[in-house]
Amino acid sequence: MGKKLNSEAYKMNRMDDVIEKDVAELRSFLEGVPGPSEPHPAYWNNFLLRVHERIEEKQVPKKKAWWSPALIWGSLSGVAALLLVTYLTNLFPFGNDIPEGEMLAGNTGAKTVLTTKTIDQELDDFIISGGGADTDETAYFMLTQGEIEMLNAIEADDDDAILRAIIGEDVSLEI
Amino acid sequence: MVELDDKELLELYRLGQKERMFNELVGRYQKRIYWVVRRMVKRHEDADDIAQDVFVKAYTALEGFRGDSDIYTWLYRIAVNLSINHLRKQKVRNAVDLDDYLPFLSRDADQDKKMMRRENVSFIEEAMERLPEKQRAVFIMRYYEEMPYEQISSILGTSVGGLKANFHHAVKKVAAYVKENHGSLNLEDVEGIADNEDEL
Repeated sequence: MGKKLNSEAYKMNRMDDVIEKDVAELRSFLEGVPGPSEPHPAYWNNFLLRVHERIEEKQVPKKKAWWSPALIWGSLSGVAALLLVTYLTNLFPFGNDIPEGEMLAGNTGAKTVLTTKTIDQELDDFIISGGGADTDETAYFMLTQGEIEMLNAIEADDDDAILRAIIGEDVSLEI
Repeated sequence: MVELDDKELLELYRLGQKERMFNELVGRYQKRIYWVVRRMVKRHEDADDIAQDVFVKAYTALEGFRGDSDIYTWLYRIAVNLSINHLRKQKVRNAVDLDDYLPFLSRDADQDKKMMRRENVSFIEEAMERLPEKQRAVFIMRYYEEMPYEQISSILGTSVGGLKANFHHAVKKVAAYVKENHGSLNLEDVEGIADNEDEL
């Protein structure tokens, strides 16, 4: 009792007989003791099938990778980023390509560029350039003839012309 | 149909007949693998899950199998490792569960639980449950499978001497448990079993 088991003895096979004796006694004692119940025979018949199903489940992501959610979201993000860049490029064009008239004509994106000039300077530039009439983007600029006359009168500092422009504007409105 | 031995199975694989080889492999070893796992983890549902995983892992790892060890030893190694992993995870889960409910368990409820377990679970399983995972694996492979120590050694990667010592400890612990709970058994040194384990 209480004997310390020496691992060296196991290595040298000196304990083999003792082990076998103890195992034999345990076996005889446990003889007839019911173990875990055997699975139904159908279980074994379907085992291979279920293993194959599990293998296929693990392989599915590889086979159908082209429509996997991660890839779809990735593609959508790319497209969205491209659209955003295109939109922002239109909204904030690189300055030299934009005609002065177009910038003044109410393009909201161009307002940040205009901040470097005073309103009077912009007005001067506009009048000098012919009021934007030579650009294709006339739709952006909605000045009437009366307004143009008014601007010219102001520029010329001609009170009569200003008065005529005012009267003319009113008349045209009434019509 | 003539049953192929392990070498012929490997030859089939080398000839490109992977599916046929694998189906033969599963048919031949499914019961043995299931039972070693079942004895390790007790519940059929867990054993079923792990046994399937053993073959799935084998299928995916077949390319890397060089044939240095027997196929059976290789499968056994996968099975034992997966079972031990499962038991370790289960131990952590149980520890958490017990912490949650310990304050609410009365002494009577604890006794009822013990009674229920005794009725439903074979006492040999109860005894094995008390063994450390690797010692349990050694006990199952030697006691039930009667596997040579050398084969167990190649599965678990430990020395034969250490295995023998572990197996003997396991036998005596199981015997001690059975003696204490279910009658008398005359084994030498049963009283002298130390609480600390000879870990592999």
